[in-house]
Amino acid sequence: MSKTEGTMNTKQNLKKHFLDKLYSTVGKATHNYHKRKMRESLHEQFDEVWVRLNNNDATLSEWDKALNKWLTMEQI
Amino acid sequence: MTFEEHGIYIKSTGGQEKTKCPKCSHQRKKGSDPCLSVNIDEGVWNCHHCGWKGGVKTESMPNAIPTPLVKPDEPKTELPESVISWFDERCISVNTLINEGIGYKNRWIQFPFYKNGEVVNIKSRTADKKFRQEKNAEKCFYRIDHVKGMETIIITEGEMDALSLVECGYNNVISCPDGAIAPGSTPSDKKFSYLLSAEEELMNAKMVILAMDSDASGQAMRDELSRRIGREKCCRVTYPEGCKDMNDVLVKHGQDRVVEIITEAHPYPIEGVISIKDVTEDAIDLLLKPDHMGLSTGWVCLDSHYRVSPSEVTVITGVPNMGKSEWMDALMINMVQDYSWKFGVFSAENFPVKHHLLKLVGKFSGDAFWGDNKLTEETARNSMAVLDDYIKFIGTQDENITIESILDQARVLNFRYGLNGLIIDPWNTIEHKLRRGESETNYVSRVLSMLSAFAKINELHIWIVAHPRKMEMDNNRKPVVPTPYDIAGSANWYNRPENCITIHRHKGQDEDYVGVHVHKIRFQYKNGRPGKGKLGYDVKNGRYYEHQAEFKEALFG
Repeated sequence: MSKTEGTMNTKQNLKKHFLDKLYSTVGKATHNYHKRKMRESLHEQFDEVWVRLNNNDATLSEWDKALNKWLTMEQI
Repeated sequence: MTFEEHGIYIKSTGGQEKTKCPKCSHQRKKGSDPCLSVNIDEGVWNCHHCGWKGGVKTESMPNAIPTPLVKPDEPKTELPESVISWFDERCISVNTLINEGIGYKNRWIQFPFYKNGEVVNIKSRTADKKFRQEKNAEKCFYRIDHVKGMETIIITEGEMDALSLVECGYNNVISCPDGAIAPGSTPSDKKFSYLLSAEEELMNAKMVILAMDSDASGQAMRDELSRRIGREKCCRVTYPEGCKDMNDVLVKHGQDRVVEIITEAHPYPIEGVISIKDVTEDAIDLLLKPDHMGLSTGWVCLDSHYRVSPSEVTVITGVPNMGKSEWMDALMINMVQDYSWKFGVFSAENFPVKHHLLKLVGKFSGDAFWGDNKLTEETARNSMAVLDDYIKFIGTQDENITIESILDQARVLNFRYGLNGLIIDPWNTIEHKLRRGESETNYVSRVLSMLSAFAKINELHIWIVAHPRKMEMDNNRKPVVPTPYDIAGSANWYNRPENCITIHRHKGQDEDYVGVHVHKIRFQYKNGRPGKGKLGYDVKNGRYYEHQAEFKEALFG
């Protein structure tokens, strides 16, 4: 068995990386309209970056940054 | 001083001449090379070898004695077949050639310049575009006699363009004798001396159409002529793709197109003046835009009174300790959360920044940042991590911050991050540098104009917090709601900005709310109408919320 067999880098397994981060994040429920609006907006921004990444218009670090930003906001 | 006294020996009494340079010619191998160019009319010289240049005083110039003008003989108008066919290829008919007295002599086509019925100059050209004029002849427009008393005059760059227009039925056409000027050059008045020949005609004309070539030289010529004649009555023409002058248009598109171009000549743009045509498309875009309203502040009860649009300035005032800066911070956090706006913040009263940041975090997270139930470290860190992308503090390092330095820093921030808002809080902590003899009123007017221009150019919204000059009390010993007219300095605080707001806390036995008094909204169709909104204030987290009665009213009418 070769050393690289069975391993994948982040770009090859984006969905797993995304789900791992998502499940490890403990979101905070809020009734604050402005906070919810910002969460939605950051979620949408992250989706856009993912689409751009698939089209090779964005980098992996941009994707990671957008994901972290959205998930951080979910915890506030 | 004369040229001879400088060691320069010239033969002519006028024009341009090349001769030997007294500085370098005797040292050169090519000693006979005339490397010194002398402009006798203007009394200046320049050596193309050693770079020596200079001039003599006008009163001692050789042509101080006016050279008598030479009047050439009328040219012979018998044209050989080859010349007629050459003109024919350029769509100029024999009739026009005869009417205009075009001559021919030793391979040179001759264009006679008539003035008061007499030939005063002859410009000659060959088929391969070599030009010459009669020596010591008078400089005047070509066809000057044809524009006497005309209300509209068309000026072309060359004789062929003038003949092209004559061919199309225009008689009120003149042409510049010396063609165009080099772009970027500063031609002497002598170069435009021919303008004097038509001074009366050009002064009395109601419209002058400048039909110069479309190349850079032609444009430079057009700009200079329009500057001298007066741009208010100058019009310019636009050539079709692939044509550089009138003769090109005549050859490629025919007479109808030439007539069309002259008919559609449009007025010369006047600097700083915008015609309706220039902005029609932008206005239609605005009309058809589905949502051209300003952005909500995040408080529903304020939507009918104040909305935020880019490219505007809002002045906020209020009695000290009534919550101007708090409300400003709350508005900023709402704009960040609702629209992802990015802000540059100069907030001198909140230095050091750590205090200000905690207040902002409290507003952002909705949790109190002090007391027993204050927000956790994790929430604070997360909030700061998110806010870092949206808020930058300005002017924290400088002691003497000026409005110019704030704008400089905002300009850099805008370039790097794309600011949407700039907050200057408060006005009185900025070091104001009045110009010598400048009054405070003029200074405030100048700075507000500067801020307004900055907001418009960079498409961002600027908020300025300014204190009123003194607190006035009513009969019940309660402070009166100040207006922007009460701001120390000038009535310009009311006149200049697009929006003016007063934040005032109404506290009494039967009332306790923060009143947002909107005094002025310039663009009411999109930003609401002046009025008053009521907000409640949560001291713990520093957030503002709709006042209960107002909220119900806004929701249920």
